[in-house]
Amino acid sequence: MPSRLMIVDDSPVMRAFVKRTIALSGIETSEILEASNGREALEKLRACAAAPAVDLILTDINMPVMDGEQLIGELKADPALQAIPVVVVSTDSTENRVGALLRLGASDYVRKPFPPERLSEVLGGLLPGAVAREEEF
Amino acid sequence: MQKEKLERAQVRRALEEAVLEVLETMCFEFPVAEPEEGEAPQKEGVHAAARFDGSLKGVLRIALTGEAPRRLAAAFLGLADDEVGERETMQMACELANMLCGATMSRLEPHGRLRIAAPEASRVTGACGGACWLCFPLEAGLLAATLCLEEES
Repeated sequence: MPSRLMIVDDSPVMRAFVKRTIALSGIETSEILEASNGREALEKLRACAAAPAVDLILTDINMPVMDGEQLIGELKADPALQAIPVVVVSTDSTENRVGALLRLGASDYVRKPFPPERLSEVLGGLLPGAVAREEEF
Repeated sequence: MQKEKLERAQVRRALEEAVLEVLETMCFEFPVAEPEEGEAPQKEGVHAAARFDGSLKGVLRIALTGEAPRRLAAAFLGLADDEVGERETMQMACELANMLCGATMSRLEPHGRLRIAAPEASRVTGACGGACWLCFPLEAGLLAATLCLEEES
């Protein structure tokens, strides 16, 4: 079944890179929502009529307006959104930060820069029924 | 004080490893020769800077010359060179500075704290007095990077 995803990153080129990586991985998607910060992400998620709003969220950490850490906190405090798996995709890979984000409720962490296989592996493990076309890479 | 904590060779090694990792994994690009230390590139090009603080404070600067900025942006986005405009080129330079900053600092301070501010890019070089740049010759130009650590106030 195609998945509905959301990418949260203030860098338009990074959102495009992640979208392209997902497409190349062969993971079927019905829609990929985009947001440039945590607040915009929450507004779009809360406006979704579907339940769950999306099947998985990929988020950066350092963003203006509302950062990724605040976003995860808001998601985990919202009964309608708390079950959505959140994957952090960020340059900040210091051990303290990664540990804190996983304790906060992030499902996994992908450090930038990353090979396409890494993102594919993480999404394949979190999206039910998703099978990545590894031979494409 | 923090400058004394890190040996120059340690910084150079971290920066070199970070550049090679980012070029290979995100842009599928490899330098055509070994990197060399030198002064800031004088040629016209794209300059980007990522300020950071936390366990260490400072700025990571990059300079891209020749066709390298457009070529790297095209590779990153999976587009042909002529499909990449000025906006994408500058956004890519920002993202490159951001990734290089994170990849360098995670090598220098894996147990530390790090916060990277939104990078800025322009066609005007930023000041970084006396800094030593690490210059990577690419097929289409040059990628140079330097890490300037600042004293705690």
